[in-house]
Amino acid sequence: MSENILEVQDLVVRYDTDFESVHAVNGISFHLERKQTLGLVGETGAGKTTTAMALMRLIPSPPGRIINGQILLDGQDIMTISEKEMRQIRGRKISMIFQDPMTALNPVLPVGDQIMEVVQLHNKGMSKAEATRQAMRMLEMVGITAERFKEYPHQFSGGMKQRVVIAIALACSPELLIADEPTTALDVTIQAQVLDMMRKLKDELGTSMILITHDLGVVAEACDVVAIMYAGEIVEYGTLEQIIERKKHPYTIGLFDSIPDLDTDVHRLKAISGLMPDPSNLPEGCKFHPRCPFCTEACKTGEVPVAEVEPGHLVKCLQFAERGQEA
Amino acid sequence: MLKYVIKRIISMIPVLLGVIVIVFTLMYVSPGDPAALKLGTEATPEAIAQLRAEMGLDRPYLVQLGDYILGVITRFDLGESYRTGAEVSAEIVGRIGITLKLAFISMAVGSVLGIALGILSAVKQYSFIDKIMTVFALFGISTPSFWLALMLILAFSVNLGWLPASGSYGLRYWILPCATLGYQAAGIIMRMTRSSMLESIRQDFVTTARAKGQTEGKIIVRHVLRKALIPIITAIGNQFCYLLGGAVLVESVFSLPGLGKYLVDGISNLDFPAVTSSVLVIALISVVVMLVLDILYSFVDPRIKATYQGDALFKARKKALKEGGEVAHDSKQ
Repeated sequence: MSENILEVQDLVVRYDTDFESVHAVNGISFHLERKQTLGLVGETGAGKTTTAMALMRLIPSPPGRIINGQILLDGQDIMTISEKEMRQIRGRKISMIFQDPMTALNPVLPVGDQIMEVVQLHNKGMSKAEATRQAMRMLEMVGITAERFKEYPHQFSGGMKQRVVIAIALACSPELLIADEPTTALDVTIQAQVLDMMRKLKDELGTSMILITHDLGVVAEACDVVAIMYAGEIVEYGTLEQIIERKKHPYTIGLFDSIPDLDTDVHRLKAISGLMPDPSNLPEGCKFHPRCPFCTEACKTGEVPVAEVEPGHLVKCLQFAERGQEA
Repeated sequence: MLKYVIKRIISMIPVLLGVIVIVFTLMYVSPGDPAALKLGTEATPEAIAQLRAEMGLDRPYLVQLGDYILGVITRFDLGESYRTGAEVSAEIVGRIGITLKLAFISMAVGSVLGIALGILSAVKQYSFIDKIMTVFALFGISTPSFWLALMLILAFSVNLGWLPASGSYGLRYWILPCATLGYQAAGIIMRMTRSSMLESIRQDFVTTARAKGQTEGKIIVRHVLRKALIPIITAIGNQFCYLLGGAVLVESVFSLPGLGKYLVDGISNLDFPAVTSSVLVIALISVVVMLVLDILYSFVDPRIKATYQGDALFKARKKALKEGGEVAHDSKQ
């Protein structure tokens, strides 16, 4: 049993079509300690979901392809194992909650059956009655009465559906749970409920979690470690405290600045100027340089090294790389 | 649900009445005189007029129509054949079996083949197999059945001598007609299966199933096909109804004494009761098949069942609103 539940080294994912090559994830590395929650934060199109799908080895292929990288799940390299072995890992050791609960459930199967499916898959030899009991327990756990076992997804509200999706994901007590924007499609009033419940269950089951979101409020509430993604790279990585209190990367600063402050009177919200670059046509040098207020000539060419500004706090920006060398 | 079925059965009545009126009228206005046809070219005008009076053809159109409808409704009497003088109902009962058998076997062959190949084609989209299947299906859809029937006879009966070309005396006699109709049905069902599968294979719940660690084969059958079934069973039902009426050519080519052949013979002999009654029976079977389809839908897709029930719920509430002014809130919600 290794100390880190997950270690990712230099992961590269590309979508190749006849017309273009989309660089979705460009060499990201991170690790996650047991029972911790990692927040993967970034704008739409930053490569968060692609990263998650790569961890499940569910990148649709073609056109997607994992070009490079090593993924160690509980010390086991899941990039080298067969699809059959991977299937035994999915749902049991690593499972996923999807963004849109409206479409994540099969509309023509009762929710109970959909929970039972994963239970039976990973507990060969378990009797049907026992699997049913386990599925009912999961429903109760996410706050749905077991009587609704035989009901269909269309009989549930959005928040309830997401609870069912969570029940499916946690049914086999996975060691790692990937939650891909689990609250984005829900009403604000339901968001907090669902998030709260996820945190409680995660602590109960001792699961580690990767929480993908673009909501910094959610990050502050639920994460221990945060990785800020931009254009398929992790531009800043550190503990929650490091990221919130001592953020360094201009992009992270821009992200936090764009949250309106209730105490000051502002007329317009602050935004980061410009748009996320097209991932099939990324800029040279630092990917953020066209939008960066501190951009220098040096930023426009060459690779940007990762600097460790304090223990465990990594920043991918030239400002700090130089400072790091000086010190 | 029961209410819905009863409602649907009641709504069949105007459909069937409409069918009677249209077919009866078409036959009435069609050129030619059944009495003259029956007596042959040598008959005197007096003899023809006498026969017309006997057959009731000299009465006004509305009286004839009303008489026929009344006979059907009150006595299940489909009239007497002008040609043979026998009861039409007895003649139809004797022939419907052959047509139904032909339709059932053909549809069974077509459905199994069509769904299996459709799944294969969807799973291997754009592959070589998919393209071969597409050609196979398009050939089935676009080939006229009589031509295909003749070609099969040429190949398997005339040249190879493996199978009989006509008649209906045993299983061997059914192979070629059912292959002809089954292949056509398979083409349409295969295309429908393919497109419906492709639509549901890209949906998020498939990714959910993969994330559970489910195998691809089980995902296809349990999740994708189940979701894709509605358009497929619709196509099967439509094909079945089409076969009932459309088997005419194949029945003629293979000399199968079925309902289709009876209908065609009836038309060429101006046998009004035979034609109207045959069409009525085909229409009746078709509306029953459609009803069975609609009931099947609700078993395949629970959301459709909910709309059937929801409709009744909605009406009950509207009624309650009208009567009492206020509706008690459903405690379940």
